[in-house]
Amino acid sequence: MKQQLEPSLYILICGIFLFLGCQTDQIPIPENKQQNSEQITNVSFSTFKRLTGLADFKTTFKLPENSEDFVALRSSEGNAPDDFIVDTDHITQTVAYGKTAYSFRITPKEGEKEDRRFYLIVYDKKGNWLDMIIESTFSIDAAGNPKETGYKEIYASAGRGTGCGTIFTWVINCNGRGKCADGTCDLCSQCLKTSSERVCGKDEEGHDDGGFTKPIQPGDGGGGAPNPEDEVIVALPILQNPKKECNKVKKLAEDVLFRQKMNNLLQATEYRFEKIFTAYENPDLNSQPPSLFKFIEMNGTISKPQVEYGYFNTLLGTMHSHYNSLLSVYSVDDLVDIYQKLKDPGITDDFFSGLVTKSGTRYLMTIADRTQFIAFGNKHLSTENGKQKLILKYIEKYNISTSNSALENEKGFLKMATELNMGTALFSGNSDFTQWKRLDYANNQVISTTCN
Amino acid sequence: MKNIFLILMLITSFLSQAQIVDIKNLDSQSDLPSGSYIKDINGDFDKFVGTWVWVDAGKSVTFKLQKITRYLDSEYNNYSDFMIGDYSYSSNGRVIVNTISQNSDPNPDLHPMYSCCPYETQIMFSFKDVRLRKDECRAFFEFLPGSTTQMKLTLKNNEGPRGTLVPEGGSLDITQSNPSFIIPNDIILTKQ
Repeated sequence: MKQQLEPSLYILICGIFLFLGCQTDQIPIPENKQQNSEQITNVSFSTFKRLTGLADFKTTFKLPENSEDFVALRSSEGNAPDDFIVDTDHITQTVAYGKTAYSFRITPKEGEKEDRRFYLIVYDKKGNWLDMIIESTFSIDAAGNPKETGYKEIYASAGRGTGCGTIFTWVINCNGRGKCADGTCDLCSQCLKTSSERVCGKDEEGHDDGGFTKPIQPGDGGGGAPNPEDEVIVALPILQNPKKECNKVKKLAEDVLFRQKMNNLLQATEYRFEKIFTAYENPDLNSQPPSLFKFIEMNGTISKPQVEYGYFNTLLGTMHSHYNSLLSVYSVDDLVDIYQKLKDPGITDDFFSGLVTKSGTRYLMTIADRTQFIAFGNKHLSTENGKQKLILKYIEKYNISTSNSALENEKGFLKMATELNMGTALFSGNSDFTQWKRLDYANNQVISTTCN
Repeated sequence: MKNIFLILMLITSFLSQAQIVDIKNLDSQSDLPSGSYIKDINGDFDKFVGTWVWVDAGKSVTFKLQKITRYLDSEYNNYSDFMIGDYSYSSNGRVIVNTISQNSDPNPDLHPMYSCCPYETQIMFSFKDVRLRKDECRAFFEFLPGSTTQMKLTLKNNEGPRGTLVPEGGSLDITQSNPSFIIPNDIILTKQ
């Protein structure tokens, strides 16, 4: 007798095939990563403190000035920053050979270095928690993917010893096969690429003041085969591609017509109705002013904080205004509208949402991780129950309200976007919309990075 | 007899393992374990429950707000307490709209108002204006200072852009929906 496949079994088999279809040197993004004998997990700051007993762990890190206090302080540049903010929102735990290590992304207080990244490693050595700082050289390859090389240990606390460290890195790459490549979705448009390097202390063979790194080769430890007893094995937090989102915004900032429309919205904040522009690809490249976009304007009804609009699924983005007494950041209903667009696979991954408010804020939001944003939407925006809870979270947990200052709301919104894993990138524009800064949240403060 | 005993054991075992979550906990339902009960532990809904009326110059608005307990959400396989609401509006003896007593089923989809959770002295409901066919509005009820029998009602349209997908070649002109409501807004309701 011919048997029919159960729908759930069919989905499972399809899922396995899709998963296997991604298996080259890159793997789809998993929640937890297993690398041979290492178990790699993302943990929260409270979990980190509970598991390590480091209850008073500081969220800033200043290198000691007295060289006797530490074993190594070196940098190939000779001008390593010495004062850092520790990102406690993305902590990676690595358990290998019964030992645990944690890695944190850290950012120099003076601002992010364009070509370097820094990590704080907290690791267990014979029952004591020691720390070290790793510096890497950062670049973006031709495909726009982030790349880190040349790991160096620029600081290690006393008790470091002479062992080496194995650093696993995880980079989110676009493999060119997904929806962005040919318009069809094979669930493999974003994959993780892994690599590993060894970083050794000052007394190891081959060491010089700049430290040294060697890629691990099969059968070759790179500066000596790893000894699990002495080796610090740690995976760094997944490296996102910061420039990718900046590049989307840069394209808008350079567009004269886009800036004109944002200025129109600025004027519209004086009215008692909302205005929206929807953006499409410009079919007439000879139009004046020259623009990549064709914008269509719609106006809402007076005294009603809503604007209804029609759109084709060739939509590239929207920009709208908030008049007086409306929020200085994106409202829950604004997010619902973006979510409904992004659920449609016909809408581009590069979708953007602009917002200009009477409070003086000028924002652009891009979707850094569509899967993550849709997961956020499914959880918080798809049902009335979810939306009501999110509205209450705005007020109770993230202190976002019309009576707050724009800065308070901005901080609350970024905190929410970080804690609820929205998968978006938020940018703040200057008065003529030519300069944009990426805004991130870490350690109870807003971190601003210049984009262009 | 043996079977009944086994069933009772199973039910007892299930109930003893069900996690009770305070309704003020704003975690998403999908984050809660299956079988959880999102419960109005402190009775925060109770003060809003009842029939609330406004009368003025031949016009009358009535809200019937009900608390539903231990309702099974089959999507997440958990239980929750919440509130539903119905309303009526009459003018000079003529009924303009009435959703009260139309349906005794507690299913929130069958009522024009729903609230997941209270907030201090106020509560927010989703609100459907069934006459004007507006789905996505909100009704806020807030007690007057020091009062337990009088609340102010504020009806609001949803904020923000609301897009409608149009087939290629169709018209992008969308008629903006009516910003008003069929029932009077910004009124003071008194508990009956």
